[in-house]
Amino acid sequence: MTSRPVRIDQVIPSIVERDAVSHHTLEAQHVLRSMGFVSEIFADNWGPGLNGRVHPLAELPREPGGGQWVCYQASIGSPAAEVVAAHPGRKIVNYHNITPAEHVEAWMPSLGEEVRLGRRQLAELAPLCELGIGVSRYNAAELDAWGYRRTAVAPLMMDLSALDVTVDPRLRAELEVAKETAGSDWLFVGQMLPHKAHQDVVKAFACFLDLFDPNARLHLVGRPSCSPYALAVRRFAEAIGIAAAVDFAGSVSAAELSAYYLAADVLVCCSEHEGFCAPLLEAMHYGVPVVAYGTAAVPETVLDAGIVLGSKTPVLVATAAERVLSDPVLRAVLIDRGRERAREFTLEAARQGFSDAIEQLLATVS
Amino acid sequence: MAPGTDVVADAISEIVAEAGRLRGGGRLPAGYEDDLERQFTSVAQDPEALGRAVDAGALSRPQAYRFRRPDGPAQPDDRPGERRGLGQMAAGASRRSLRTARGASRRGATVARRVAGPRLRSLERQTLDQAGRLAEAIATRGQVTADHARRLASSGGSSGRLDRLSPGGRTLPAATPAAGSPRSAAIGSTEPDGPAAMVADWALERLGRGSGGRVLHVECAEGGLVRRMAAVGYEATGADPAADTSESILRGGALERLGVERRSSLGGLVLSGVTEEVSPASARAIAHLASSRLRPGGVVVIVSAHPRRPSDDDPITSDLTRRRPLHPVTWCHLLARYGFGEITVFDPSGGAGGATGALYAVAGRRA
Repeated sequence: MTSRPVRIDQVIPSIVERDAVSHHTLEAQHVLRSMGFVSEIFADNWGPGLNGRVHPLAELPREPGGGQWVCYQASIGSPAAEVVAAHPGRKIVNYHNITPAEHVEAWMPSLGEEVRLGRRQLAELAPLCELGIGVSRYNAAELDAWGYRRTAVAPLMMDLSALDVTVDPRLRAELEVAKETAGSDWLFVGQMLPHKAHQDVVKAFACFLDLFDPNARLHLVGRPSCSPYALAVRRFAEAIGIAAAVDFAGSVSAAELSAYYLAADVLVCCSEHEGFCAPLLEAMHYGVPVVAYGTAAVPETVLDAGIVLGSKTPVLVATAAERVLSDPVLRAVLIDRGRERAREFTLEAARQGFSDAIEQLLATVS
Repeated sequence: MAPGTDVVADAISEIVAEAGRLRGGGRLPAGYEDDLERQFTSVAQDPEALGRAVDAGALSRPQAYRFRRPDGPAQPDDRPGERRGLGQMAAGASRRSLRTARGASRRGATVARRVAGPRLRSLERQTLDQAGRLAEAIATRGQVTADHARRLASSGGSSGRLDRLSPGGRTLPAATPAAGSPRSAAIGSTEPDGPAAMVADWALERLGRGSGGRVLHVECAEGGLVRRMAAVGYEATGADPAADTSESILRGGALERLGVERRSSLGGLVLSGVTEEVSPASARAIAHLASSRLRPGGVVVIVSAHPRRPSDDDPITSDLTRRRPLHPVTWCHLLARYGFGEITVFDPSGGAGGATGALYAVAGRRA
């Protein structure tokens, strides 16, 4: 017989502003407190804007007697996982997906080691945890495969309405002028990391220029987190003669991101691995049709609200983009379904999902 | 909805069929898609085009160290170590400057209170802030100058500024670098090879995790790394005492160059060369300078020769010998103490040592 805990604290390796997992953790704290638990966040590192809201990991209480549970927010390998493993309280893992090393290590050996460590730590935590919560069914399935005895799905707590910020007027005007001149606008949003496969978007875009629209533009928005890879993609665009049509926008502000979404005619995603892929929902929120390669969690994020392809050969992706741009009926259906799908991911619904997962666990173990 | 009746599912089927027709229809040259793939592979494997070799096998496992930040702010001039000759005088000058500046600020504040009364309270606060920053800058510069003096003295060089600081100062024995070890500034050469190339790759990758913004490479040699940073979109600047002056590479004392940067103005910072001949006290000053010049989220990468010796496994005995490269664990502690997190060490040899392990790098993110 287990009594209801008094507190459920969260542990996260690193928490900063403007980061999806960090925002989720802050929201989870809000939910846990609203459920009546004492709940604090403990981290190895935190951004300056979170001073006072986050405590050093070394100060994580170790209350005996089952009154304290710990929820670990897992997205990378970290010594914080070992602190959780050694903690006497009952444990929950909230899994945001860790990209398998084979997708990144050829370009970023150090990141390869970190993700390998992270996945190993998650497997080691499995027998110690009461519950594993995946932010997608794909993630929950990974937790199942590692041997977690109970798993649940509770979506990422993201606030799509926060995207409705003031649009950057200068960028909006620039993009509009280009659009009025000629050509359509492709968009992909994601850090320039090898598993995002920017090169496959560039290949498909090159094919689109050759086959359908020589005046089109491709905007690649996202921080060049892996410099050699980012440079290779840029060199590739130069080598095949389309560099002038590719905009390597880099990291942008929320107002600039909003301008890119508003100008986009289609969002094309060729990622090799995604645990959820928030930009797909962001595009749907803005009424931008999605063409995506159906790998990992992408199909369950998109469902029937986008064109999900079984392969990402350049001709196939280019043909899909052309169809989305030229077929008004299909385009209207995708925009409607996309907006509807995005509405399913309201912050309130995600909060409820997380709360339900915790309540069901408590009912099971009590 | 039944299969075959959904407009999206139907469209996907038609798209697949249309793509097949396009492939075989002669609108694209034979082998078009394979050629695109070949071109990307060619770029990805061309070390000249990328300025690097994509060789995962050659880059061994990094070691990761993480430390909790200590409570309370660190001070740049706490627990000064042993100083002699030129270094002692420079460090003494820095302490005197600090005392003088603090005394002046207190006296100024007293006068302001007596003469001007409450209306000038805000001006008083501003004066105190400015005096405090000045005192801190003088103290930091003093620590750095002390080691700069030692370096110049040991290399036989001199300058008018040093003569003024220490007329008659004696020449100290030269540092003893590890046999055959490349200087860490080799990461800035035009075509780095071996461990320097691996460390340069790693530094670029770490900088990519930062918050963006201007990046400075202190003691950048030929500016090879600066050019690579610029090529991937950074606003990159280098500083090197011996560098050819160009738009992106500035001649002059490297640490002095860092000292004149505005607070919180840098998004990334690479330190090499100067990191190898510092005393523990000056290393603290470097860590403080890095912390104060980087903005939150900024990344520092410290590159150094490894102090490999028979006592290699014991960082304490390795590091108490002044003016030798520091052990990576020491830099980790310093970075943690001066407000850095996500601290990671890269050893190109994966701990095996040898020629590949002659260099190492430590990176941290400014909290």
